[in-house]
Amino acid sequence: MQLAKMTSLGEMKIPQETEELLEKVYKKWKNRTCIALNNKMYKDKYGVNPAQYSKAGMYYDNVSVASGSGIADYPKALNKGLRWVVDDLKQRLRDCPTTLDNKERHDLYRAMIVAVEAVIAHSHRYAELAEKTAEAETDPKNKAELLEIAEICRRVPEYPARNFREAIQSFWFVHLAIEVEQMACATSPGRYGQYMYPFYKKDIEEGKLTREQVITLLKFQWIKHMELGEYQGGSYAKTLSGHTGQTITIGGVDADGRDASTELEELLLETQIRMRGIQPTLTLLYHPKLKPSYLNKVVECIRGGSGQPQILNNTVVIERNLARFAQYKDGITLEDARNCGNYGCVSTGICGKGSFITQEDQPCLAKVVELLLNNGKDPSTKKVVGVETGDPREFKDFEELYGACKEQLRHLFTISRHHSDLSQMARLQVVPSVFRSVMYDGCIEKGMCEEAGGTRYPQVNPIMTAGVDAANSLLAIKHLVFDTKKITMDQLLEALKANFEGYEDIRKMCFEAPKHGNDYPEIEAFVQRFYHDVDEIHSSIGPDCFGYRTPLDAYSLSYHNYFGSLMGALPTGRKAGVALTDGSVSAMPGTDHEGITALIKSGAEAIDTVRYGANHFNVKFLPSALEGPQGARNLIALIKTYCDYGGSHIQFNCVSSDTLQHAQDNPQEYKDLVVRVAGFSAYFTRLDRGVQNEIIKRTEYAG
Amino acid sequence: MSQGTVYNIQRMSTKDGPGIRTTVFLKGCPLHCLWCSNPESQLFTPQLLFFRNLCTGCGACVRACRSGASSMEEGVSRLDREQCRDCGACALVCPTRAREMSGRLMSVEEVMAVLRKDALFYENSGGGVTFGGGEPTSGGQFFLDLVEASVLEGWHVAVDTCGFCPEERFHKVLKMADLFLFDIKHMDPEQHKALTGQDNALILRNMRAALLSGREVHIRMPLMPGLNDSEENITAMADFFGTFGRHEIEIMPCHAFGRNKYAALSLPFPAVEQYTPEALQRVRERFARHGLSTVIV
Repeated sequence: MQLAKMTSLGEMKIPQETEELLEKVYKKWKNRTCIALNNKMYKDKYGVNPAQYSKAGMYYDNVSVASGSGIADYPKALNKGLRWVVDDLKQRLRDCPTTLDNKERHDLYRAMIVAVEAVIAHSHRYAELAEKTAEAETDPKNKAELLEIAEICRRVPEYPARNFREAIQSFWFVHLAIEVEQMACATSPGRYGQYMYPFYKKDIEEGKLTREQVITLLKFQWIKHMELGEYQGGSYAKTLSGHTGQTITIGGVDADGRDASTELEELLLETQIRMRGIQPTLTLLYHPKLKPSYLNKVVECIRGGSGQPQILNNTVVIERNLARFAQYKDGITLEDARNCGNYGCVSTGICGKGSFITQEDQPCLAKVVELLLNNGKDPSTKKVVGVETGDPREFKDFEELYGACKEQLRHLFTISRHHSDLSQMARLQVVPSVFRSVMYDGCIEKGMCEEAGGTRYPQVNPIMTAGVDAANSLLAIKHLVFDTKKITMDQLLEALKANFEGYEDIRKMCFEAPKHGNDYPEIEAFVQRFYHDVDEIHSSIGPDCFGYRTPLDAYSLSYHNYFGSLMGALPTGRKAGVALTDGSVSAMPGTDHEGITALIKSGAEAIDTVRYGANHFNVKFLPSALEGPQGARNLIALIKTYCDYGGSHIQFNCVSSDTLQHAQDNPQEYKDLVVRVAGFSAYFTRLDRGVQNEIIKRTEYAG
Repeated sequence: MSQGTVYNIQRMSTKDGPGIRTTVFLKGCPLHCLWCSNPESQLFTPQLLFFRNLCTGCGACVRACRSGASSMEEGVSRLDREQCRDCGACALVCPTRAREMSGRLMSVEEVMAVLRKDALFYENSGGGVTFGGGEPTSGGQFFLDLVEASVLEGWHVAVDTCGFCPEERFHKVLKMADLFLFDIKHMDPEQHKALTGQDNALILRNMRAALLSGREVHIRMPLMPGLNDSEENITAMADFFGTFGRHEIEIMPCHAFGRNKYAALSLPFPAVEQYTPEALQRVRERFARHGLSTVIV
């Protein structure tokens, strides 16, 4: 309960009475949730209680939380209005044959009409309140403002918006309704700066709004996004850090492949520069046709230090859409593939016509190594939850060990796939989402709700974490036990069991062993081989609950932290309980020593980003390293080269003075940290303490 | 193929010419400037660096040492420079890189293999490769081969030089490289010799050749309080560069960033003063009065 109150803004203060109410709700739902039903269904079908797997940290069973993430068809509300939607639904209900096989469809349309009317009524309540307040208001300016609010809330989202002010209100009412129905992470506004652009352009051209007024309205919207929080249980708070993932996608191309970026998007960037908020988040769909002035605005925002916008490679996303949906019964059009967006975090899909199911179980690949080294037994729960692949001391060579690792992987994916597919049935039964289904194209036409696969492009996103920890662990075993024979498997196992206590020399060897992120061809070839095999094994388990091959989404959220807390020591030199590596192609902290270009190449190529649903790459930099116009050009060149190498996601985080302070106190963990000092680059930990202090002072960039 | 001693190859180098670059640092320098901030670059042979602050006292170096130069003292490793033969056996086993060898004999092909790794970054950023040191031109044929191979790859090539280089060799480089980051320390031959160990006649001849070659030349000056910032020297510089129509120089004010490296080499840190911001401003104004604008790099 306490943890559940964590939001992206920190600890949430809740009044006593609300807390009591929440406790009552919790007790009422305790054994009636999706996860309870899901686990019962699994036990009935496979004869095993699956709770042991999640307890051992093999996967995180996300089914306990709301599903349905993606990008709604906001333009429908803006341009047609919800009254039009109600009329359309009524017509469809009348036209639907009254046969028993159409019962679900009848129920859905009836429910949809109720839901849409409720959203309209909700906006009217705001109008009434504004009117009432206006009556009592004596200040003419305030009164006029209240009456304007009333007029806008009477108008939208029921009817089409006529200007930017109405459009922003319509957007917000719809977004809020979707979030209220099922507060799910990654309910994303999508290409906001593009569908809002016609309203913006008209008002600016007619002189009704100034750019500064638009920014003020956007600032208000930013605050509204930050008001939303998710309260879905302690472990959920741990795995997502309260992140709500409301992502606005900017850039990209239009249906004909031309640059789709708009001037309004530059104002979104400006708003983010001024607000430094954490919601909404901005994602740039990068492509080489973006204008230099636009890219400079992007760089200005990145340099602000909020890590925004994150970058997605537009070319990869389109290729991925074409590959992913080509297998669907109705295929995909090129125009739809280009109308892509960031669904939240780093995964992608089609705007307005698709959504993804987040209730997939989310496996931890590093756990596979732990099970492999313990003959299938989880060291913390002492239960055999993996495959008994044999005493690891008996493996004759690395390939034999690797084969056993693949068996463990297959086992993990089989369990999580079976559990996940049943979870979809549980969700469909317990919490189908009605208004969301109205807002995602395809559901109304098919007469199926989102959870049943009603959207035009439904997708399942199995989020998979800690691949780099697994690959680095295998590389260390290969190097230390099999290639150089510096230690025996027995010594390694003893050291791991002791959490390296009394085995500091072995821990150092483990930490120094070859690691991902340094552009060493043979090392990166192994990382690529590992990720390739992971995908192949996952695909071989069979189709997802919609009947299609599901690409793996390789990213971490805060799962690397959650799973890390459930895991013992690893052959990478990481100690028990410590967070695993973030992202899916980032380097383990302190192990990339060849610089940012080497890291970027290694990160871009680790995963086949078209075959996978996502990769996830965090890069840290010192603000001073990218100063001035040349620094901006260099940053853009890093992004472009990353994309040229086929990378999908990259996010630049500024190294803060706190980090440098920590590096000064713990030089072992920051061997790779390069700083720029007058005229040359240097490893931070090798500088004189006085010089270090000076750099720490210098790095305290604004914000 | 020729070989030479390289003490560092810095990828993602951004201040040694335009764009994203890889800078190759060749070991060895014919000058010995009082203020040198890379003391490990002066000798032409590999040397052991020892960063005491990174030592965790594991004792691996003592076990690896073949010359009896390493011992333990109060839980931390100790290095006897008299005994040390810079063989690098300890650096190979040091788990924290507190001990590290500066300088490795490399072939042209080995260096090129590293440079090629970032070719796409050069292309996308308008960058290239830079040769620095030490004094890169002292690398002789090895250096010339590297420049030629880089030019053949189509890369933009910069040379960071003090100009103390046989003229015949310097003219060959002028034909190939695109950009020269050319240091000037002092205009007076005697003073120059006192500060760097060599007079400046050869340097100034090469500087003239560079300025007349049509290649891009950035004139750079390490600026040392009381050593080369006098009215007299600045007047002489303005006169010299003015005849070539050059009115801008890049200055590198003295700093103490090399301090830890002197310690790592067991060398005393040279007693060079640093500018206060106000003093630096006054010196820059002195340049300006003589028609030379300054940019700090």
